Amino acid sequence: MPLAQSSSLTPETLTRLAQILGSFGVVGNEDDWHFDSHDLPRSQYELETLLREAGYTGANLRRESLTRPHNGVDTIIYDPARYENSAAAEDAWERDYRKRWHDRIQHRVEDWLDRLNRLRSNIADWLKDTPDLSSLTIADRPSAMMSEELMIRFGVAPIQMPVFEIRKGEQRLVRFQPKGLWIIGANGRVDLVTRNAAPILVDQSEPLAGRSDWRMYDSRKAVSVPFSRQTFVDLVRAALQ
Amino acid sequence: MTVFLEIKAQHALADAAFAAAEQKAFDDDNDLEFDLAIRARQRNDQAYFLFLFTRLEHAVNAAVETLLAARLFATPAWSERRIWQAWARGPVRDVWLLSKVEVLTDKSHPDYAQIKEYYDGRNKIAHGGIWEAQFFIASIAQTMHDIVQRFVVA
Repeated sequence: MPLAQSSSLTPETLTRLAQILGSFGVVGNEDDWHFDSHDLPRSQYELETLLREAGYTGANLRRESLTRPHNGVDTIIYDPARYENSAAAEDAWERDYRKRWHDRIQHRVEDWLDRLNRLRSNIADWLKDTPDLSSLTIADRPSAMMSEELMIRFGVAPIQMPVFEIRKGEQRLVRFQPKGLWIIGANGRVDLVTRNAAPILVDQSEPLAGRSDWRMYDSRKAVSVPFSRQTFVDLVRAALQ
Repeated sequence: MTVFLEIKAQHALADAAFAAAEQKAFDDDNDLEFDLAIRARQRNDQAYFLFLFTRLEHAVNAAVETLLAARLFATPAWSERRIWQAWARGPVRDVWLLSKVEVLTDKSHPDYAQIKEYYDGRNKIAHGGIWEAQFFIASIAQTMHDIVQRFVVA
């Protein structure tokens, strides 16, 4: 059965839906799957035919509008052999949805903390390996609590983000102040502050990419540059002057 | 230079002033002033984000107007033309933003997801939901500039 050209129900999406229905018995039109409930065929027969062609082998499916639409999800499709009615299917879907999001958010938060710790570790190495800066120290400051909106919504416990300074004796040269993970336009942000500059450090990597892409943006120059050992050393040397 | 890059340059000037307040508070070792400066810089970013978003909405409306004009006159068959005729009956600005975006870019394309993220961010600020929302304006302005160039209006 051909799909309408404008449909968000791509063959890949249908295959994924068929797999989830086969294993879990209920699926919702979540954003991540990039399909719109309006793109579902109006005929139940057509919908079921599409899903069976995509690999679904269970009982005849049912489709329901959610009684509590949220986060853009307003429709579920479920296997009535697994759930006796739409309320049971909706409850199961919602529990699974919240658990998946909780786990995803938890993973992102742990990844963010790892990236911050790796950043601190890189900075310690860069200082140690730069002869004129090797006597500088890293001093921890009171950490900053991270409890962003998504963490609150999905019950992920707050964490403490490391805040630290580079010092020469008692003289404070650079402060690293993490701002947060869910930044529109970046995958995490740390503000750097010295007595003569306050650039922004943003990670431009994709979420959970496994490798950071830290870039330093100075609004006075209106450009961002990779945050490398050299840019860091230049920043610290300028702060020493 | 598009309006997005113009705003990006304007934001850089404003951000530098807020950054200078952070620097001074840091130099003075004044934690209270430092926190206030950070907060002020964040509010400035939020304001610029809303400003950028209004320009994005304007660009979307302009692109849809262009598309409507092209399709209304270039599509002889009523079956193809009817949806555009229905849209052309009222002001384009009254159509839901994401529906308009959907006719300018493929819904499975990352540009659609990106605009939806901006739309959600805009709604959260506009409705008072996340006063703590944070933005990297330089990247957002550049991305909006790039996305608008890719709208399909033929």
